[in-house]
Amino acid sequence: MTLVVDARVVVGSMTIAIDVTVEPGETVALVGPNGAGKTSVVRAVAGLVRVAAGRIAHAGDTWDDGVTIFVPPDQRSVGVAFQQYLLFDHLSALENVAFGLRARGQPHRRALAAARTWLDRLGVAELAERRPGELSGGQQQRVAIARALATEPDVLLLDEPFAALDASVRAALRRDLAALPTAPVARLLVAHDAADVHALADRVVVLEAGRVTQRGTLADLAGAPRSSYVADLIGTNLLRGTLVNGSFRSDDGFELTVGAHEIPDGGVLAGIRPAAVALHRERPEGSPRNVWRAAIDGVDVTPDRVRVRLAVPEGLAVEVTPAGFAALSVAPGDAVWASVKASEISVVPD
Amino acid sequence: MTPRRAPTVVVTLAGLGSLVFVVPLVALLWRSPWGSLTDVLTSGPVRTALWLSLVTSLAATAIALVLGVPLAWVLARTRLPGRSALRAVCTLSMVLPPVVAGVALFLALGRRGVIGEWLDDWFGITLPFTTPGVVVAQVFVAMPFLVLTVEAAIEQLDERFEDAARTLGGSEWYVFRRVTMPAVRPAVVAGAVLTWARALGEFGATITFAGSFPGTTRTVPIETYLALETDPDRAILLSLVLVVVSFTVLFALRGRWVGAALRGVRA
Repeated sequence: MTLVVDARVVVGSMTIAIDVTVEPGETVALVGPNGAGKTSVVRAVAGLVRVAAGRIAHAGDTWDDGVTIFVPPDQRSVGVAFQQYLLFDHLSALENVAFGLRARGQPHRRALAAARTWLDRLGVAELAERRPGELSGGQQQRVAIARALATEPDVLLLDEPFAALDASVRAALRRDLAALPTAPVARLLVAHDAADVHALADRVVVLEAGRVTQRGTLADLAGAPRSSYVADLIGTNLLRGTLVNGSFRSDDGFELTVGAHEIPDGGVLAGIRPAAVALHRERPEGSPRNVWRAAIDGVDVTPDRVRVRLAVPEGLAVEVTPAGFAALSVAPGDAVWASVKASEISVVPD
Repeated sequence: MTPRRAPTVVVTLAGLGSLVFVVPLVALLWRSPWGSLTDVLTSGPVRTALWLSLVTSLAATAIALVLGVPLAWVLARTRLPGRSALRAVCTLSMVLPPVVAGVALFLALGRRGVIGEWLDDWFGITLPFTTPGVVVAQVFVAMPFLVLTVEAAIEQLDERFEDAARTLGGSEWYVFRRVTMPAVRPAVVAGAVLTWARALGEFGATITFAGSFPGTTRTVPIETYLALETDPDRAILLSLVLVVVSFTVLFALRGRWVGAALRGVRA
């Protein structure tokens, strides 16, 4: 029941080359900047657009080979939750969820009963009789996900299901979705938020400008981001530069000692997690091999952490605890000492 | 929007423009022999014509619905080569002189017509100068109103709703019936009403193709035209009936006619 996608999809002037395998019971997150082609991959797997070459297959059955074989969407065991919900306005929430079962020929009464169960699982049973227009965005997405799950598909495609929701609604839905009983369904989640990926996905595939640029677990990505997109996604700083004898020099001239012993000299990307950088009032003594003085460019306070941006290297994000920040007693514009251990800096060839 | 003062020239011309429509209608109302209204409208020939018009126009509307809605879908949703040309052909009769429509129908479906000859030889079906012929003429002239209204609504309907329905397991036909049609229902209703009103008033194509036989092809507009010579009161009162029907239809559709297409959608 494995979903195998190894295909090229052409949309307008853009070609997307995607290669991803999703095992039953597994959730793979497809992340990438806007316009990278993520939605086109979802549409191809759903059968809403044909692949130009390659193959999409499920459980050994080819769904699309770009030439002769094409299984239409209604004959694929796929459920899709769309970013824009796409609930049918002329039907109640309950009838929306029952739609797929009715389309597959289930008797009306049984379809409605099953639909009620799914609404209940998504926590919106009391909204069964409402029309989509009478529901909030979060409620609509819950109904839409119930609708996608009601036909009990083998492949579930979640196309940015949280993108149009505000933070609190989003967190609640993410939590409920993670808590749903996991049928052996292959799930592909399009996302561009690290929290969504963290909560729901086992693995990540990064799609940028129609190409897969990195894959692995979120921890793999955080450990060694290969693009500024990935660095942003997981909140890591990424510096582009060159490596010479274990010494890193960024393109704008900032030097760091790094612990990259296996990486050959040449162009590299250095990743520094915001929490790996320490800030000090006085020049620190002892072990850290990278110590420099920098002005504070900006401060962003949240309840559990403070994010500080430094002027050197430009825009470097540093994360400290609120207590630690208070002890510094500094304000934007002030200069502080920053330090980071060489072993905390990831280096990958560029 | 703040109310704005209109330029005098524009207002004057607009006033003259509206008079073009208002004056004839007022004249009709003014000269109507109100006293004999009931007598005339219940007289034999008038009742026959009214009944014939009602039956044929409703039949024409039904046929237009069955054929026109799918036609609208094809024009809106497929990438058919020559789609623009097809649309032009299918809506040509809106601007064609009805008498030309009648001539064309005659050449196609007349007893020696391209298809008519074959219909006659094989099935013994004759359309010209029959009640079904009246319906054919009305469909030819009125169906474009339905096609254009529904096509506009389908075109504005977000295709992704149909995509979503497909992924839920709906066949193309199921999706057409259960998603596309309900979404454009207001436009279908508006289009059908306009089509019916146009069919009811059809004159030129009908008299050319179906003639004017009392009880079989003499519809209200034809009865009106003929009565003008012999019984002007009858002509005036029948005109009045047609005006009232048309005005009611347009007035009732005021909101929908423009809003229909938009209301069917809601992204």
